[in-house]
Amino acid sequence: MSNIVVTQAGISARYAADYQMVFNSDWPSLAIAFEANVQVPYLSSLTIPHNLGFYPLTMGWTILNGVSIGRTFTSSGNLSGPQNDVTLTFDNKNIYLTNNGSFNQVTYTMSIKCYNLDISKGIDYTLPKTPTVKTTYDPSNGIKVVKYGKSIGSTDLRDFILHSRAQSPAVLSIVTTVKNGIIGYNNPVGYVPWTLAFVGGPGQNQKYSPLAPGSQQNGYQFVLANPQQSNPQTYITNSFLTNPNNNFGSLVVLRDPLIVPTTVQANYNG
Amino acid sequence: MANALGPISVSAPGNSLTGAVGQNITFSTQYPFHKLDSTKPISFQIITLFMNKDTPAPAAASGFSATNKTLVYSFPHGYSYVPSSWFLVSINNFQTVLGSEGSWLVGNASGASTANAQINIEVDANNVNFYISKFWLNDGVTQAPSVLGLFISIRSYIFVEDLLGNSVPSHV
Repeated sequence: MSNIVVTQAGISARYAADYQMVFNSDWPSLAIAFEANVQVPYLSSLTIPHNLGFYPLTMGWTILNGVSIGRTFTSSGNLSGPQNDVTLTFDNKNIYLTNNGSFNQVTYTMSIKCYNLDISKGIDYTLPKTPTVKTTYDPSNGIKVVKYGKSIGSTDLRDFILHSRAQSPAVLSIVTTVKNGIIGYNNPVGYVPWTLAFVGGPGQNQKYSPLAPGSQQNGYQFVLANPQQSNPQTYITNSFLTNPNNNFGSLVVLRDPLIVPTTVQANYNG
Repeated sequence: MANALGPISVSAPGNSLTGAVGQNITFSTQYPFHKLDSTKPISFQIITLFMNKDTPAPAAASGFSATNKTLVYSFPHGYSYVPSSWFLVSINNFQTVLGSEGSWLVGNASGASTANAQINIEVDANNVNFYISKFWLNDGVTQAPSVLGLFISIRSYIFVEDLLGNSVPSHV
């Protein structure tokens, strides 16, 4: 074994299944490389240098009156609203924010996270094993890597770089290649990964925009695979992708976190 | 600096740490993981919300349009701050995905629909709140949008990290 693994408490590092690992150096997990929290006044634009030197996976949360109202995406037929009032694009140097104020003519707070993941380079990692049983956290065993200036005894998980009580989405694949007018990813059998899409086109100077799933009002379409199909495929498409010189995109396919989801059934009864 | 490594870094197999950036660094004390607390059930949930009753229609007089917003579900996230979050929304058990937080459930956002219903998911310092927002132009023909009988599936991640912009260690 040439990699470094950190497993859940009580699990042998040598024999652990994928889903029993908190950290495995074979797979990059989502780590935060740059952050910002900025005010974007109505009809103003802001350029924020991230200085990472590559095209980082980037997300922006729109905050109004201290409440997160959602991540910003390129508007689509299935998604629009005040969370998209501030548009976000990024390249290998900067993040660009513009408050168009289509819904509210206000100043928004934008919280930006750039992850240590270059979305311009395709890569494929090992097929994961999905979790089948829940395991419990054992506070008497494990590993903690605390942030500089924070206490190793802290009970606030934000104070840690790595903590065996926590897990992060890991990267399964990054797809950038255009084939037959689409950028596609075939889901592993029986596995539903979380997929993120980013696109850019002519005149955008290699700037990427986050794309929400669903039909788009104009431009690209991002379709998540139907897991009940025999060959489920997630893809980005638009007519311009047949000309990859001017258009580009990236599918970032994430493993689910290794924990089993909690299933909640709720009724709205008025 | 792009590749100023922290005191401890691990590169991906086959990659030298020298000059490594992005996914070729799988661990660095510079870069905190975006963490889900595996001991908290709210960290990763599949929520199915059945609309056993419709939310009220917007009070639009004839020839006018109106909007309204109704809280339909809420849960406490257990943190004392606004955590970062991801959501995916479907109304057919994820055979197809409508979109992320803010997706339209009825009608669409392309400007043609005179009756829309949207799910908004807002996160404050205590709770995750799910709203149905409706728009209705009462043109005498179009019925007010209805969400009665929908099974709304929501895939929800609530992360440990907040939105204050200070997760990256201060010495970096």
